[in-house]
Amino acid sequence: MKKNIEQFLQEFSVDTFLPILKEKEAVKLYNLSFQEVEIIALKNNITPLRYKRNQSTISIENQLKLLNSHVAIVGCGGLGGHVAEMLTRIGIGNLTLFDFDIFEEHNLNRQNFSNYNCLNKEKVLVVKEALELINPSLHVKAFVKKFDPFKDMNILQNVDMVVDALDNPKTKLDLAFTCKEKNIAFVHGAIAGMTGQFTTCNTLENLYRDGDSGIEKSVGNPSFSVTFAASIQSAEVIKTILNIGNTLKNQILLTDLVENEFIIL
Amino acid sequence: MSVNITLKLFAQYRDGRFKVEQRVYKCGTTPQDIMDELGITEHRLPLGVLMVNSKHEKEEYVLQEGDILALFPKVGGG
Repeated sequence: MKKNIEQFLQEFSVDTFLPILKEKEAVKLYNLSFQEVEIIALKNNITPLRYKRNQSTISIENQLKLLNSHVAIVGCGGLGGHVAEMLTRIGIGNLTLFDFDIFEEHNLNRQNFSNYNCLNKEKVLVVKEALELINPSLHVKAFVKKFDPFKDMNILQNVDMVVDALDNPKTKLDLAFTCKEKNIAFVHGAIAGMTGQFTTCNTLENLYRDGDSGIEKSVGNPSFSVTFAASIQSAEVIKTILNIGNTLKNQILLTDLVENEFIIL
Repeated sequence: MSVNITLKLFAQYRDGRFKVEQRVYKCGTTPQDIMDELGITEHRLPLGVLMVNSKHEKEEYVLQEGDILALFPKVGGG
């Protein structure tokens, strides 16, 4: 008699951790997706082995919550590509990505998943493929389009949080405004040279007087500023979804890696 | 009549200028006047956060005796 899936997972987990090869067997045997198998495992206090080093920063209950969560990342350049990878690795189950652009040579200094072979390819399609290789239980929707905050919010109906990984103040302002209006959690991040700024669930009028470009046009965006900023944004996403710790709700964090200044307004 | 103002500059605004300075200005001076004096122009060094005594204010605010003006460049890259 065929074991039920709970028995299968109990039998083949090692010290309450489920190796990916056994997960793959369960997918075939019970005709389920990787994500469905992981949900059943976590509900039975079995953790997919890939999340072992998340513990105990992330509890089993919270790992399940992340797997059931849905985050939209608007922009898949510098910030977006790194946020996407971090959320994938920690175990967010559903991502929706937007970017209209292709990878170009001047992206190679900082943009995650960009390399010599993917120049001229659509960023979101490259990123989606790379994320699915990292974690097959992840569900990724990729839109090759310029997100319009006033026309496209219907796509974000079932999203738990929106990440602002855009590269221009105009759309950042509009996205923050519509997220606030529709009561969708939102994390803003922006960089210029070795400086950055962040806020969560706020509109951006105090940061942007208008939609014109900032100082990044003259000072560029080096690699470590991007990964630093993406880390702050990823932490804000996880804390907001899990309702833990202090977030930047109603606060602004300004950072300067030249002087190691970290100011909360 | 004049007012004593503490100026705090951040990030790229410090290049060739200063971090903190106390200066005396005539009454009626606004943050915009000070930015003009410092060569902080919208075209080359766009303005992000402007705070007076840790409170968000506009460029037209009339500075008062003892005010602390903090200026941060506009940061919009992703």
